[in-house]
Amino acid sequence: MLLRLAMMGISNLFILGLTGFLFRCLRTKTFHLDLPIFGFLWIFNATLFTFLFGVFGILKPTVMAVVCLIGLSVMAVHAYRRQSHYAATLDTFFSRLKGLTFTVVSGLLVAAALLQLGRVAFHVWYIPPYVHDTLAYHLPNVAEWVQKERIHAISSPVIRSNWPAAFEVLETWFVVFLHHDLLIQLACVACYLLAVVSVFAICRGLGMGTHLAAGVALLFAYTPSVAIHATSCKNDLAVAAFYLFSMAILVDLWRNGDNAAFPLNRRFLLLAMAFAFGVGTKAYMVFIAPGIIVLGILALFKHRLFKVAIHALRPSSILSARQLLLYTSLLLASGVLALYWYVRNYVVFDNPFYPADFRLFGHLIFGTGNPPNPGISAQPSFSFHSMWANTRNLVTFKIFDQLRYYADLHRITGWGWFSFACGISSVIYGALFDRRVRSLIFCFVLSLLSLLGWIFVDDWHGRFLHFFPPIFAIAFGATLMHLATRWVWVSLSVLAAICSLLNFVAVLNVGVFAKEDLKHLMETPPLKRSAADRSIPWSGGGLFQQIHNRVPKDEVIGYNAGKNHVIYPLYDSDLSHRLRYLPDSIDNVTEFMKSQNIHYLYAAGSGGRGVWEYPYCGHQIGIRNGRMATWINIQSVNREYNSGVINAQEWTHLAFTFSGREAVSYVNGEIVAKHTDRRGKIEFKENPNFVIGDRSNVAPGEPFKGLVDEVALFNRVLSQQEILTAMKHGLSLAEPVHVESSATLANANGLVAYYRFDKGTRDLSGKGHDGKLVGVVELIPDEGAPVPNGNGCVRFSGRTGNAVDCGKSSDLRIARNLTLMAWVKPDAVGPTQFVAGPAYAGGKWYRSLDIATAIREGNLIEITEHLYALKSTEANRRVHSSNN
Amino acid sequence: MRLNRLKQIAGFIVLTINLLLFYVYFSKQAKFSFEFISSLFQG
Repeated sequence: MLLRLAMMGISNLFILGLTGFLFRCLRTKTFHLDLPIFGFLWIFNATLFTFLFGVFGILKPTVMAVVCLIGLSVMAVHAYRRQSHYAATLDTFFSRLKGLTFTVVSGLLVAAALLQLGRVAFHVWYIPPYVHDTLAYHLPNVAEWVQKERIHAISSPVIRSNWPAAFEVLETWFVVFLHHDLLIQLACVACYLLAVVSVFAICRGLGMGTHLAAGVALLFAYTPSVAIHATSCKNDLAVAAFYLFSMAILVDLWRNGDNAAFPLNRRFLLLAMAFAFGVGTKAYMVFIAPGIIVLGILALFKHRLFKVAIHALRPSSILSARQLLLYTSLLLASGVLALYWYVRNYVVFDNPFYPADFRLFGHLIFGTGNPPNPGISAQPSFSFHSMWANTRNLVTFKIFDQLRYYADLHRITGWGWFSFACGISSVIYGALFDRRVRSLIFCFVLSLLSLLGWIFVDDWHGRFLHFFPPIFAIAFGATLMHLATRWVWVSLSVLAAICSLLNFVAVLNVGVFAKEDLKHLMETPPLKRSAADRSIPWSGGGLFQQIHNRVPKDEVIGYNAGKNHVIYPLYDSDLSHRLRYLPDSIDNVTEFMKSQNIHYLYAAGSGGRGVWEYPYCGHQIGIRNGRMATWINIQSVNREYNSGVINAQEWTHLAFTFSGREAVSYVNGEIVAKHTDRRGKIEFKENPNFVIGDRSNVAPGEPFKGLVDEVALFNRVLSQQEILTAMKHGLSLAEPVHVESSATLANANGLVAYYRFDKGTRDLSGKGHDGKLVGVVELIPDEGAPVPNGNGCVRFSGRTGNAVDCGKSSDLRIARNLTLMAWVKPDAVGPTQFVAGPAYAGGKWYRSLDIATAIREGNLIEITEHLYALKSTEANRRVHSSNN
Repeated sequence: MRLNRLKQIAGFIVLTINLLLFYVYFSKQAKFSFEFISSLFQG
């Protein structure tokens, strides 16, 4: 590890030196502009350097470190020759430092910056990658590139991994030397810092003083969505940083005009580099570009610079041949970084925008017209309908942030307390009364509207909007300048500080982790912290750790999973596990695994029946592979828990409780699983009906085959004792009840619906949710669950569409504090069978790898949840372990 | 003089609106924002 750290140190020194060299050629000698220029060049160099090594297949830390060492040596010789120049530069720097005066305000600003940086450092160090999209498709790219030592299109069920990935290249820089993801979040931190100093530069460009500009930059830095994304491993903050960097350059031009220290050709070069980098990171950089373009035009118009601008675009405007070479090289490098992904996708998939379609004026230009992956909806083209619907969603509910802040930003913007309480009024005020910011507000809003017009309508777009909240902070700063009255100034500043403090408090745990989770991660040694850790929301409660323990590191793990499945934790934090994707099209799994020398298979599909994508399943219970299955959807995140043992042809009591913090499954009154990995409210899509026996309002519903009895739903969490009592004695024991008299049962505390099926499908809770038989469903009068007076139950034939439909009353959809229970006697326990709950109301069904046949034929055995091994392999391993 | 007066009034209006918006946001978000910090003081 020491050697790896040394290689990382050398390489970073080289990149720093290279950045210093470029910076000397491109700087403006204006402090507030030089800051973001230096930051941008550092990010650009690190990415380009990694990219070049990756594309040529030599992404090896030793090779990279040796090249860097040679580069450093050359720089050292150069520096030695010009030591007087560097000494003078250092003297200037230190004399500027000495010249800084320390005031209470600057002390407070520094303290605020350090506080936020401390939080960010804490998360970088202690929290492994934890966001769904990064684990599903961003980071598998990084893992594969580092393992294979080259940048290539990876094979993955999550085909979104083929999106442009310039940011993932930057993340690779932080992984490749250590061969560990401990510092991977620094890539986001770099972009975060660039965004913040760019906002500082914009404010200075607008004429704000240093303290006010720093304060405004900090107000932006404390924005919850931005602060969370500073350590999220997602690439959206990078796009925002490039946007703001471009704005900083143009605001300076707009306010101050052309000047010799920062000539137009240099501005154009930096703008082109930032734009290209943005396009190589995410295509929506193009959608937010109108604001940049309009501000550029405004600046040129204001200073009558059109002729100068046209001249600046000519190579002859560049003074020396050396400069020309430098400019050309940087433009070329930026172009490659931007276009590589699109050209690659065009060559490999015949569609540069794969996996999305591309249409122009309604005509399909690239793609199939039928996006192959859920979550990738093709945007036909710019659409006023999208713009209107997305804007309406933004204004009517997203901006209110009515959910916990977290990186996915589902149905929220995450713009936070300050933006809402201080920013909105400032933007309105600035637009009406302040000429300095009016044009800037117009450009930001233009970018926002353009983006909202290009993206399709859904609830997940908050992550595209990081570029926008700076305008709240900037307008606030401008308003403070305008409203010079002291008491107003102080009051507004205090309110802004309170809001920022609340923003800070709200994202201490990045909206995901409980106190215990953070404590556990802090107690884990740094190199053992992994996205597979049980504290991470997407780790399947430690499932991936179990897999790491079971599979030797020299074995390749074959895997097959859904098209939006989390994959990265399988690699482990030190990328020690190698993966091989087994696509759904493989007919004979066993033969394929044997031929490829793959002995282990992680299969997150449903054993040959396919993979269900995006079911908004509320709270449901059922059976899967001989276990009790619980499907819940908490804040739009689907969870499936499998636990306990259920035998065919035996009456078994299933119960499930969810408190909002803890999901508990009971089989025959015994707790078989407790999960705390997701917290919050259960969500329902499109008001589904509560059904028993089949959830097939969209096929296939995984219908139940066998007997069901005593289905009960409570709007509170029953204790284990209460569940045991209900199981043993039924709900009618306390006071004998006749079928026609439901009054007594209505007194059962929290009972919402109760079906005994003795003489029908009447709801005995007294709440009136009587069931209706749908399809071929038989009431069996002389058989029932083993409870007193348990005669009568209902038999389902296992055919799609056969169910008891209890209606769509909102009482039957309980967001938290619920208990759902039922007695079941399945004919067989192999297939997935739904018992009761609100039905699915959306989604699609996909075929998955057929492992069911391999299991049935005895070639594949399950060794832990979702992990299978070729039978001979597992037998060998057991013999090997017993011998040891 | 009149301009300063106007600026004072504008400042008062902005501050009032901000406080109102703060209250609105508080009613929507407070329970989530304080969730983690309050958990630190429990058990």
